[in-house]
Amino acid sequence: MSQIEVPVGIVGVEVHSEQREVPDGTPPAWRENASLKQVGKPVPRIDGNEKVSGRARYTSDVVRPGMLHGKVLRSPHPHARIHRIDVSEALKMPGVKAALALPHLLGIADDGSGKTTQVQSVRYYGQPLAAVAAQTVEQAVAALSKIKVDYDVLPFVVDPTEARQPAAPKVFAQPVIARGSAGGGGSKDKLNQVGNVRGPKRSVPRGREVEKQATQVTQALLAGPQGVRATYKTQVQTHSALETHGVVAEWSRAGDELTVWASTQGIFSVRDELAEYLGIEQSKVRVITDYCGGGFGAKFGAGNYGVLAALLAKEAKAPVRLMLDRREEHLAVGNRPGSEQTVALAASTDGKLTAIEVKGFGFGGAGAGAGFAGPALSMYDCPAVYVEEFDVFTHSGPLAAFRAPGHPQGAFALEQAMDELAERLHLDPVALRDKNDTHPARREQRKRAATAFGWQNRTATGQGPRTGKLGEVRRGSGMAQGCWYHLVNVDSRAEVRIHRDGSVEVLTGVQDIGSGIRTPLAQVVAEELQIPIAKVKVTIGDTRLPPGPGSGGSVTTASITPAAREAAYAAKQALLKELQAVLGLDKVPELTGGAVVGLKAGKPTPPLPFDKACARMRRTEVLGSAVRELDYGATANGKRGNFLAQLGGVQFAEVEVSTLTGVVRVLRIVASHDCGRPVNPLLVENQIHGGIIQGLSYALFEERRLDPKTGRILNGNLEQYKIAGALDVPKIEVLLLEELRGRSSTDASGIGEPATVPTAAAIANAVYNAIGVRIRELPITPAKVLAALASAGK
Amino acid sequence: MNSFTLTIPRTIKQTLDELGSTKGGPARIKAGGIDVLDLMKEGIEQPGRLINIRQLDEKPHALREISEVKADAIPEGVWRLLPGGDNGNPPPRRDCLRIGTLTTLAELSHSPLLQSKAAALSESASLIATPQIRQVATLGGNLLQRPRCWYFRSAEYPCAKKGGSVCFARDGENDFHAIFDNQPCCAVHPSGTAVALAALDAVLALQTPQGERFARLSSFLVSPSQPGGAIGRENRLEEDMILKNIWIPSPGPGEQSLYRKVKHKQSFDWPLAEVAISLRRGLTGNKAPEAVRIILGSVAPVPYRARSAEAALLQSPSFDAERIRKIGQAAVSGATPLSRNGYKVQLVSGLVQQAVAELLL
Repeated sequence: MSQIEVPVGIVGVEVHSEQREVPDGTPPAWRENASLKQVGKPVPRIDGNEKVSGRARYTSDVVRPGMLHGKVLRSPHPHARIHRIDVSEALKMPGVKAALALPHLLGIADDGSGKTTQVQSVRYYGQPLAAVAAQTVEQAVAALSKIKVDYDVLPFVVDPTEARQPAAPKVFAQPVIARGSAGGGGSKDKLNQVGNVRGPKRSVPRGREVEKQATQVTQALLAGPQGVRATYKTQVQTHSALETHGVVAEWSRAGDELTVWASTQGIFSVRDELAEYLGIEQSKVRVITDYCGGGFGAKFGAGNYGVLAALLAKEAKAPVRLMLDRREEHLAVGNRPGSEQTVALAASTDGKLTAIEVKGFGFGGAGAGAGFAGPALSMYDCPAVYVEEFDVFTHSGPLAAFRAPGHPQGAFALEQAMDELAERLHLDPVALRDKNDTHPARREQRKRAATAFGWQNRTATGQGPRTGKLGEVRRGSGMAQGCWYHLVNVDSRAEVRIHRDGSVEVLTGVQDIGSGIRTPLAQVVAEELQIPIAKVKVTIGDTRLPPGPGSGGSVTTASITPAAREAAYAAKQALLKELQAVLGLDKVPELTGGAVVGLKAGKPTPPLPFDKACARMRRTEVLGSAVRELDYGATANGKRGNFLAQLGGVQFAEVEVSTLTGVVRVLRIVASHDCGRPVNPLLVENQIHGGIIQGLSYALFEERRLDPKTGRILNGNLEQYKIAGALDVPKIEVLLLEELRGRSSTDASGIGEPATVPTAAAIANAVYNAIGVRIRELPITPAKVLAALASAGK
Repeated sequence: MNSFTLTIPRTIKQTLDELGSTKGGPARIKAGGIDVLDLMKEGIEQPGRLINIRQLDEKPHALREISEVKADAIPEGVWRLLPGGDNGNPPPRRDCLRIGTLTTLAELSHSPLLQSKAAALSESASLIATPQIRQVATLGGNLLQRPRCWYFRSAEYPCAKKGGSVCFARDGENDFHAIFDNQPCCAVHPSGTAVALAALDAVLALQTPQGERFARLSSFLVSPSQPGGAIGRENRLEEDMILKNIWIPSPGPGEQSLYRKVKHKQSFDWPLAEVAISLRRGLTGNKAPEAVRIILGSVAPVPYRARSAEAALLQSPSFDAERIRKIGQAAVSGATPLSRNGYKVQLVSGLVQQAVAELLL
């Protein structure tokens, strides 16, 4: 081990030096971005041209010789027992080359019924049961209707309130367990389960005792003197990525090796799950993802469609393409679970929080782990914090990890409760946060965003400017904040090759979920080697490459850019040693100002430009390889409650509400965020814009609608499932912090998730400020606004 | 989607011949194809033949033309259906706008002629769907599209409109359904241009094998509860006809029109409610309203004429916020909201107030 000096602090506020103990061979720390040439610069995506011109190959673009088309048979019943699935008639249909039943179901809470040879139960409408592969899609669709399924149709429940009743039809007869994915989700084992209600899962901040906190919270809530208590509800949101889930699966001629082109955010998790499911070695499965059209947490693992495609391809001895359609996308590949949370806060008269209590239910359909505890547990300095969560199962499509699992829901409740508390205390909402939140990044974010927003001009509740000929349009402003965690995947490796002609390759098995990881990889390598970005060829998205992180949990940049920089550093050292030998230098030369400079017989050699230096190598290339190690001096990455490991994010919203029609329009959002060192501020801003738009869409529009009488989805499309469009997007201003923490050789953290956490809460608080009536239920529709106004007599 | 044969006639005659033929199963007209492809993809309609009329090249009055026709050249059938006739006397002859039904929504939005002489129509077209869809969707298709009720649009629900016996929306998820005239079917009429055209007293020219026929839009669109209505259809178009042109009287002095809609989302959303108003004001003095038509959209199986609101407006001696509120309330008098769409009563009243305020304040 050795010591290095690292800069620590928020650039523009205060930066100082600290020592870190690091493994030998660690490159020296970079100073702030202003001192760098490639890193920290708003470099346009190096693959942007490919993407916008349609040359980028997404999974849905993959065509293989002799490729068949797979389609999935889905249950038309939300609850049934299956006796038999007979595909024999389907096999006789024109063009059909394979047909089979799904052996066991992925993505649902596991009730211990285990891996049988055939799925025995239907627990949600749209559950996959069987599949066919045919020469055309139309032939495959026609053949599906020939599959015979013997069902015992059973009573079901899709309404989460009804599902809580003791007499409600049970989704699971046995207690369940639920594994998470790299993007979150999953649930504790061994929780109590009565009927459809599983829990409570009891949580307190790290390092505190559950029983003591629970008691302290109860006492503080009784003692007051100030407090608020209210119930907040959030809806089910589907991921609705532009590219649907799907794969193209192809076996080797011998039938023992499988290649899968997958629309995924984790090529290695797809590989490992397929290998396990199919009982073959990981080395015999290759997964390729050149580009992915969005995942948002729902594209980890093989998926039932992936398994079916692999099995169909094996049976048909031909490649099979199986991409879901938009309707299937809403039904059966995950969602952000709904919630009902009762938040109680207690505070001293001067606004110091004395208790935070959140109790409530998560509605993840046939999936477990629909919690929302994160913000309550992590955001505020409060001596007593206690969260109690129950899962309520219903006969509907199971949840999946979704962009900051639990956090937009949790923030919607907690941050509105804080707004209500501020009003009770006659405190400015920003001032209330300043009193209770010492997170250094958020403190600075509140300051910068409030100034940029013009928060000092905010008017009292319901007193904002009125426009429209009848004065019916009210304006209002609100703010909210969020949290997420600095998480890394220490299993990430990158290789850098320097070729004799001075060109450079970086290779790693990360994938581009859509946020553009190729560009930061090129930037860190170009920075380290002092070469133009155009000289760096980035190769990713293939499990034949060294393992990269799954793109979830906002880990990608934080995990793989240090490995890439260190691999470039190692390759550089190898190059310089080679040059010492070739040129007969006194010692290992240095790369400086883009040229190699050394000493020969005590005299400086003339600067040798990088490409000319490479040309002197005796070998065709030098190679550097590095693995992402633990953060410098830390072992517990992303430790909750540890501010150094927590990411912030503060957003201010201005809205306009028509009191005649109930329509809410968001005029602007000012967002301040931190992600450690922003390697590429342009792409970071890009993700913040995406997070805000998705958060706005969640706040105002999106909602999966099930018909309670039939359990079927009513809006399984992008027409009636409403997603914000261009005219709904507000003016967005991003204030990005450069926060150095001395954690890794690039010191980057993630941004994808934090960007979407506070948006809905900020909008809800602004709506309250505009009309003086609080909407505690998402989405904030004209119907809800009008009902609230009418009940308040406004 | 079912297999089908596609024919591409060049003339209206060829189109009618194709429609009249029985070979190859029932035929369906396709213009922009926006709605018919949706219906076929969902399996709601399964025509054996599609007749693509996008390329129809009819002279002298192209089906994709917007023009103004002098009073003396108006066909008698149109003239007789124009407003203003009473006591058995025919209405006065006047200039008219003629719009071919293959005109795209984008063309309607961008037409300076319509912007100045039929603002409600041009505004309604400009607010529909997305720019991409407006480039392709036609006026005829917009008028004749099927409702968007999510039970009707799902093949899994054998609803009454599809020949079944039940209206699933009536006691189901009916947030976006009718608040007037909502038995036996509560799907709302989906056409924004129909609302504007109803306010503008439009007359339709239909081509049948027997020759050209004319009908007022307000009698062409028919709700299941009205005489001649049927639950399975929204209009009186027969299988052997096509919709050729729309005629609108050019505005006289003091006449103006306006269309407004409320959408939950501003991009690509179906309206929660619409209103179109055509108004004639006096030319002198305080320019008091002398005649008005107020048509509500997305509230009933066909565009709904708010006669009480019209009367309230004409009786109002002057206009201020309170009097306008009364007009808004009159617009929703007699509403019969369902379990989940009560908010629309308030919303429609609010929308009417906004629109009236824009015209009169």
